Amino acid sequence: MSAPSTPPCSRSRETRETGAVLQMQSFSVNDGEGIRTVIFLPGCPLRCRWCANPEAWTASPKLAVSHAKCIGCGACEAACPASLFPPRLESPAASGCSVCGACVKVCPAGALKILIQEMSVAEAARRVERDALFFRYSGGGVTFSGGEPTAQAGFLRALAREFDSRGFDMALETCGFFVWDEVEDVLALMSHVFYDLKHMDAAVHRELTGAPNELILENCRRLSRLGIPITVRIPVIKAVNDTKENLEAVCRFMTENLPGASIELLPYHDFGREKYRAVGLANQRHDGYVRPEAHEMEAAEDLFRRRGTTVVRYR
Amino acid sequence: MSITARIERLRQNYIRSKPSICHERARIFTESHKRSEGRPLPVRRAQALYDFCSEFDGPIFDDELIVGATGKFRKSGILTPEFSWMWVDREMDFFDKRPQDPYEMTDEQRAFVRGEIFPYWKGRSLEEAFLARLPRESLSIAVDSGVVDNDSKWRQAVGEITPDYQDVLFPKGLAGVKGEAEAHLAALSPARAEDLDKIVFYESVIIACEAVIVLARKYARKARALAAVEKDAARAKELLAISEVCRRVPAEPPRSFHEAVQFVWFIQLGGILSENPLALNLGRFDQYMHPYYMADRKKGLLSEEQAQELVEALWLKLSEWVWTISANTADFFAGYNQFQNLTVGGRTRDGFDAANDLSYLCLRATDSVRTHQPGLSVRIHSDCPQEFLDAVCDLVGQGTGFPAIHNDQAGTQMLLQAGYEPEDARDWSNCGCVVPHFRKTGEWTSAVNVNFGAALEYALNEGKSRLTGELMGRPCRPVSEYASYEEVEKAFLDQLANLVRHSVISTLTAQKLHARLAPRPFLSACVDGCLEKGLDLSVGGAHYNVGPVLTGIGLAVAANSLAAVRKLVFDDGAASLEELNKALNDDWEGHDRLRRMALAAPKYGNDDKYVDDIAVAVSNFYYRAARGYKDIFGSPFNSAFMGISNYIPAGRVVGATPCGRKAGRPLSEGVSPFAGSDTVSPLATMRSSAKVNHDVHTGGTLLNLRLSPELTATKRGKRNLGNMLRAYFSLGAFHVQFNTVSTETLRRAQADPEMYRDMLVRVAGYSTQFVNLSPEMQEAIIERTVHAAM
Repeated sequence: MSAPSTPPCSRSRETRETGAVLQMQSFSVNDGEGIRTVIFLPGCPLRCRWCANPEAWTASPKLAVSHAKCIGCGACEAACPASLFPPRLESPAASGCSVCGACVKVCPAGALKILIQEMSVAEAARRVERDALFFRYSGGGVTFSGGEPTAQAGFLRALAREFDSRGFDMALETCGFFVWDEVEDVLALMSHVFYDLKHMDAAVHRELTGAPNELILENCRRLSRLGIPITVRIPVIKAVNDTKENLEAVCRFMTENLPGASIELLPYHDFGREKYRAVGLANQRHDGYVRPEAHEMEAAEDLFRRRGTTVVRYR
Repeated sequence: MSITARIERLRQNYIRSKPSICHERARIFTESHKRSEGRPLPVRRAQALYDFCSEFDGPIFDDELIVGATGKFRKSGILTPEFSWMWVDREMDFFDKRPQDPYEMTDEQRAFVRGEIFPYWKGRSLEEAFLARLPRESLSIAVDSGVVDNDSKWRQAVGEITPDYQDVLFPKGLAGVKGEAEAHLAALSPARAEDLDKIVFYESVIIACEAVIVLARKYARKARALAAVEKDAARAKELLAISEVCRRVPAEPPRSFHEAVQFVWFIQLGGILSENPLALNLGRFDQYMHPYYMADRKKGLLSEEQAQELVEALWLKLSEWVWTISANTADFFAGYNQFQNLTVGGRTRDGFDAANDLSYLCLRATDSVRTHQPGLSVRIHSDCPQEFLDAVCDLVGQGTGFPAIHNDQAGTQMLLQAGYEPEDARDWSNCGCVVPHFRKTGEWTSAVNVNFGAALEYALNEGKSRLTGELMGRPCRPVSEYASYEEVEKAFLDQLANLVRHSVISTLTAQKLHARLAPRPFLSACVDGCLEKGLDLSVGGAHYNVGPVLTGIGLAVAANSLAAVRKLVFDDGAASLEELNKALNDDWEGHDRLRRMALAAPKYGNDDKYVDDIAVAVSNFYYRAARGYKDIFGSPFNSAFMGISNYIPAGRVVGATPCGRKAGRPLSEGVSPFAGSDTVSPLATMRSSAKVNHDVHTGGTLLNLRLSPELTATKRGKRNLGNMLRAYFSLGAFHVQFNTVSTETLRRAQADPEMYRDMLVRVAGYSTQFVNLSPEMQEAIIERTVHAAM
């Protein structure tokens, strides 16, 4: 699957009162200060080859199958209006699955689940409000993540305005591939942005993610000019983007363009493996990416430290 | 790692030596009672203590700084046949083989106690009197049934006392207390009928005080004698110092930190030898020890390291003696736990922050020696110093299950609710595991365990046990006749009220007998009020008398089950009550689909109003039911949702439940969710449990959470944990305790117990060595949901 070379453009600065939510995760402590609730908004313009969240590529509801739990009883097939047998579907969407949920209700093993639901801003606020007490005591708040949160710019705007009026601290994680004018006002409400820089070489970036990086870098410069604290994140993959050359390029970019920004290096992980099978995208998975060793991560962090860049770990 | 090599040697010994029964105390008590036939019982008990203290050649073990032992062995358990001998007779052949808390005992010992000790007590013990007197209607439900369980109150002494160091013991010394008793006695006359019981009481107090003074002086002589033959000059000097300390305390007020620590241990020893007590607490140790610590520090007589060494030596002493209990009691109070609670932090009587150097030292000592005693508790108030909270979270991060963390203000509120003066309510410390308590109090803080799962079962099964078919509850309608959810809930509450009634009957029976058969002369000398009133603790001598606490077990199982009935049967019509009942009778075998629906029904612990509202309603009902009865002193009974290990044996007698639980599986503890069913987040769990009105359950509430160790591995993580605690307490909740040992570590410990002998885990309300738990108990610990940060 390939991604477009420019992000999808929607009507500028609209608001949408409902949107697609993959998950709201309470008690998150690795994506910003304090105890946070992370809202995962599905839909992503990139297709990074190592992606760990294939279920969040698009914002449409998906049927997920836990192959470990499936006992092969066939109850789902009997209940399905289209007589499909979800565990065997290579690609549920292509097979005519309408994600009606009939199979989920009857599965005795609890092996089926619908991912991504349509949610209103009011409902999201109601849920976040339950955790708000813990934000106040810990200095935490809400973190928007994805997919790519800016991919649902209108919904993100409505959520951010609502949370801003409620006094919640907000942070955002982004891949940076968005139309600046569409989200500038939303970004301005954030107290912290985590910004992914996957590779500094435009051609390599396009090969790895399906999109070029010029816009990403330009958006990052603009963000810095807004004065919002930035933490650059690199999903560090052995022999892909952990070369001295690439890390130094990131470092240079930060020194020249992002005064005061910090960096967090996140080692690649393989936890997404099962998810590809679960949502019928096994054939889209690229294998062979390797997690750097702990000492290699340390060395990479040292490289940044030596050049005067603040290294952080939200762990 | 212990603070000094000496403490580490003591610690290794504590970890490696096996608990053994020492029958010396039983032998000397029995002989003494044979000699004192006909004299008043309080005097006979005190005299028996005196005889033990003067006859028993108490050992001083190598390296000891704090001396005094309950028996010949480092880890000695004593026998108290005056309370109960029948269970010992029945069980002692298997003491070394029982799964929970085994003891060593030789055949020779067994022959001796069977031949010389038990025959004397036949017909005289508390247990026999209780079984003879308990109203017949309560027999099947209140004796070894797992339904209404209070055997620790008729096979054992009550315990549950916090000696008053602040106002009685340290200012007066035992000699001073004895002097007061003598002065009272001098004003009484055997010619006045109303004086007669008081005369007996004061005489018993005088003898008991003398007994413990004699015990200390014997250790003074022993230390001196050992010093004379000691080859190591440093140790000889140390033994002479120990001798001086034991000559001084506990007869006289302590003058140094060392004397104060030794004083505390002698008081523990006096209480232990008197009655083998559950929960003889050390109270606010950091508060009453602080003046001695500061004085010695200022004078340059004590380094911080020396102070910590003495404290660690005390921690080992507290852990070495063994609370000898029946297999049944051991199931309910697992892990050789003596429940000697020690509380640090909190506020002063005036409401100011009370944390001091010793509060921190106590946290460090527990981290350092990793003993299962004392039960270290902390009080956290809204203005508590961040560094104190940080120190608490540091210890949580060590994965010992310590400390138990309590909301200072909630504890105070509970005591105000129970009728305490405001200064006293602010001066609370814990009793046993999580019972807010004040030292001038007589209270049965864990009088009865009440099985909510059983009440639910009886409501759905015509009053009968599902496992045995026996009629245990009130006879009631078959499920086919319940027309609405409200009728089911009412039937459950009726059954619960019935269990409360039997709990009260059983407690009143035991209280009446304790007043006649179990005088407590030594502990009466340690608690304010008794000397002034001329009354023993057992007859209401304490300044405050608070009603017995009934602990509810299985609140989450009851709420989850009622919610499942409401959802499946009355809301969704997915099954009839008859079908559900059939599935429960079949232990869910062949009813997979229905069980899946039951498991998917709302579960307490996820901030879900549907089921949480039921939990709150049930807990409020329980509070009112308990408060509707009064004890023999006229004090209303109290409710609690504290945990001991009671949720495991309580679950064993309950068949499958509508929440999806299988027959015989553990229930739930305190106000904690059912193990593994709190799947949303720890924040949701805390919000659910805070919905219960903690402040009215004056016997304490308990929430146990397991956290992934990664969460507390960094400073940031610990800060977040501390802030999470503050947020939880702001909701009015009383207690939370964390286990942070990973599942993998627990599995490794099961496979290789030798390597993990010192690993402490939170059981419920207390921590103990994981490897000392029965396999069943270990599985229950592992099953608790691990809350990893997402």
